[in-house]
Amino acid sequence: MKKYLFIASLLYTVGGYSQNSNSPYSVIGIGDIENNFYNRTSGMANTGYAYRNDRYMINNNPASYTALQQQFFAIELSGRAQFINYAGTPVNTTSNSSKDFAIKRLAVGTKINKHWASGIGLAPFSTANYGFSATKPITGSPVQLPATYDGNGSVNQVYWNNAVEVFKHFSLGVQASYLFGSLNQTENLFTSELQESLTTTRQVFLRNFYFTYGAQYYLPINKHWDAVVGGTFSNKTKLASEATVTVTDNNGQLLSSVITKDDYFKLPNSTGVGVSLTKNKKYTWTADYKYQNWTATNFSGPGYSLQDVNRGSVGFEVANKKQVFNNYFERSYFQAGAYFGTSYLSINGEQLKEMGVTFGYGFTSLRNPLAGHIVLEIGQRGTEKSGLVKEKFVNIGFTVSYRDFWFTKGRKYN
Amino acid sequence: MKKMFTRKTIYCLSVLFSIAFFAGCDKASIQFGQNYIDNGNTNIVLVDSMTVGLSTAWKDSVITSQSGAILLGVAQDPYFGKTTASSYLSLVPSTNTIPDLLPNAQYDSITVLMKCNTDYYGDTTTAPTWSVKQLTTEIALPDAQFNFYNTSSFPVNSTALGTRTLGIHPSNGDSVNIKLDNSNGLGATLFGMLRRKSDTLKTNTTFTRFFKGLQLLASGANVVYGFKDSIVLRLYYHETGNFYTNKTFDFTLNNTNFQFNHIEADRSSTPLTALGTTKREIASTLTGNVGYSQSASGLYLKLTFPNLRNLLQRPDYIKLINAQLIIKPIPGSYSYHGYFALPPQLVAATTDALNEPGGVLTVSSGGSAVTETGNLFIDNQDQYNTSYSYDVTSYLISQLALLNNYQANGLLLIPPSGSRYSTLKRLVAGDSKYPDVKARVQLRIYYVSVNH
Repeated sequence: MKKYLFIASLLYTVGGYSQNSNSPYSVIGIGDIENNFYNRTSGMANTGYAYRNDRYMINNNPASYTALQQQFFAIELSGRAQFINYAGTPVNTTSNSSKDFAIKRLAVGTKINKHWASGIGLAPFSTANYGFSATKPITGSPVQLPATYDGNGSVNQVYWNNAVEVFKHFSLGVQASYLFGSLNQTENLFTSELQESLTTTRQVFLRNFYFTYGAQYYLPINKHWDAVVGGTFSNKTKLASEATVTVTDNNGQLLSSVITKDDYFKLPNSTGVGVSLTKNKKYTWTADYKYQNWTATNFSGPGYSLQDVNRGSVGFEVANKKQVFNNYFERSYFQAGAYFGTSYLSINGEQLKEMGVTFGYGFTSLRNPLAGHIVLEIGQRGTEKSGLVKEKFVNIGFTVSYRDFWFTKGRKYN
Repeated sequence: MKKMFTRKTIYCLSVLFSIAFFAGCDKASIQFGQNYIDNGNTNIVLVDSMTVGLSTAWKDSVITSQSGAILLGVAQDPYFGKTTASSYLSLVPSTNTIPDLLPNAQYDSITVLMKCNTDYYGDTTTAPTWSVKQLTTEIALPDAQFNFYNTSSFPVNSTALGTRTLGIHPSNGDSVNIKLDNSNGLGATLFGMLRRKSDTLKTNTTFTRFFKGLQLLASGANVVYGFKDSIVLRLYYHETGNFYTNKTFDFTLNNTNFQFNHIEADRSSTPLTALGTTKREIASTLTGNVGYSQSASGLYLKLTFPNLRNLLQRPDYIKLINAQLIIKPIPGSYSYHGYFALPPQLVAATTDALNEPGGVLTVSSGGSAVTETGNLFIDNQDQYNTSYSYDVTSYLISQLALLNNYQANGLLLIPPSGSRYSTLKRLVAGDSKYPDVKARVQLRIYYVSVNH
């Protein structure tokens, strides 16, 4: 087991959160907030408030962990490759696409006893990556100096999920997260006439605890049908921030370094509800709705403001299961999903919309402790109107799951 | 455990890694975001309202020996008053090896020949009367004195050796030759010494004891001309051997240190009269908000930066990165092809309360320090564009670092050392409060500003 943990952590370290695709909108707020859970539900447009699985950790709703099979612990590692095409007036038509690859999630979980499951994980909460060139006036003069701006960084989420089956068919869960990370912006200002170049690096370190509460109620309706209803709620939370602004000149000499403390950013109340129906343990239909009250955070700037997020998604799954005595072993599954929602950003009066479709395929090895799936997502975000940028993207995601026995030398899986 | 890496697993892993490899990293070029960033921290700020103090420093004497130029004439300048320049010099035989003259050699004439160095100050359309006078005292440095000054002079014989009225075109490098009167007998005397190979001609010392030197003057016109110091006193004679042959014997400059220009200025008709005889410096506010530069007559334009340290009080001030000083001649005070031209080059020499020129400002060019000479830009269409400009970045940075005794520090705008005292070309520059806003001196300081 140590060996796999080592491999997993190595992969995680190598992959890191290296996001290189431009994300022009990530210049605002705390960057692009992840809607993707990078788990089993990704093939169903991340529709999973009411989804339960005995092998995969469904971090969409912490209450789902009680569905995990007892005696096992599981490790999941997820990554994603992304290809984006951009359109709109700010986009250079000869350089209008980007691609990157990043490891996105690492999670470990187990069902500790019949009523209690627990797991930890690490995932991105938001990411920023942008770069553009601009001009900046010399104060007191009409002269404009060339400047470049580069931004990167992420707010990461390390979480601890606990779920308890309070009574039969009903579980409660809580995801206690610690959000941490930094968003960095570098301004390079240069002037050949004045023989000076100035680099201003603003590093905003953000951190706080963040809690998501979840509940799921699940029961068989009849011989063929099973149903789950679920919901999550996250409290509004201030992100404590510490901003470091350093200015260096072309000789690398530090001109200024100042640290300011502030509650830079607030996360709003967030509510998610979902329902899923499963027929014959094979076909699953699921639907989610999410609402986030960003307007209440009163965060705005020149030309933009934050608006409430409304997001709906649906998913469908066909599982190919093999019945062994009373147990079903899943060998493979196909998924499809679609989503539509608004982003928390409203720029130049346009609230950004995002939509997409997803397809997933997963398999479980019957001979070794590995399982995995691969997800294709095709979507778009934004608009070409009002000087904005439309992003059309293709994501290829994967999750590798390793599962082994927990504190027991009991029966061998294969 | 051993079975973990089945074919299927390996296949899947290789697919994953190909995705990772294929995706790689690539960035698009999207010019989006400038309006939404908070980039107010760092700025470059231009300050162009800082007062530059102008004054005219007056040196009661400046060194005019060894200047390489002979300045002759009188010019009436509406801004500088009446300036009179004459030159003193000592001449010696061009060779101490006396030629053998035929017994029938005959003296013809003796002439002073000099060539214009193209410099002039005043109205070149008038014809001055050139005069040559003989010194009655040998030119010699007093004890503990190593140079002659614009104030130096030696007694002369009041009767001129020769005069001539002749107009010249300085830009052509015209020559002036003044034939000396034979009535004074100088030519015949020198010819006699030549014919008999007089010992007086054989050493410079003995010759100057006999012929103490000349004072050259010009008057009757409104112009001062500059001549090269390759002046010649030429003795003409002829011999008749097989043929009739014209011959000459030259007397040339003895020692450049024994040639100097005597320059007198009568400034009683100008605001500079306020200098009187005792003041060494006068603020531009007392001279009509202008400062004067004419170093050969002892006037240095001085610039000071009295409020420079106010920069340090600005809360956002981090460091000065560039400072440009622009000095504008007041319109009408000069004209390029007219009477009173601007000095083509003015260096900015650092100075203090004593107003002595120190090191000159330089800029780095191609890795070496190059003296700044003002980059005089002359715009004949729009006189307001005519200006001298200096990069004073390093100078002001050094001044900002001083903790005390900096108030009287400044820059003197004067011609480069090679021509500092050999021309009367001059500058009248407007100060920070000169009534015509466009002709005011400007200081543009760029500094790095950081706000938090």
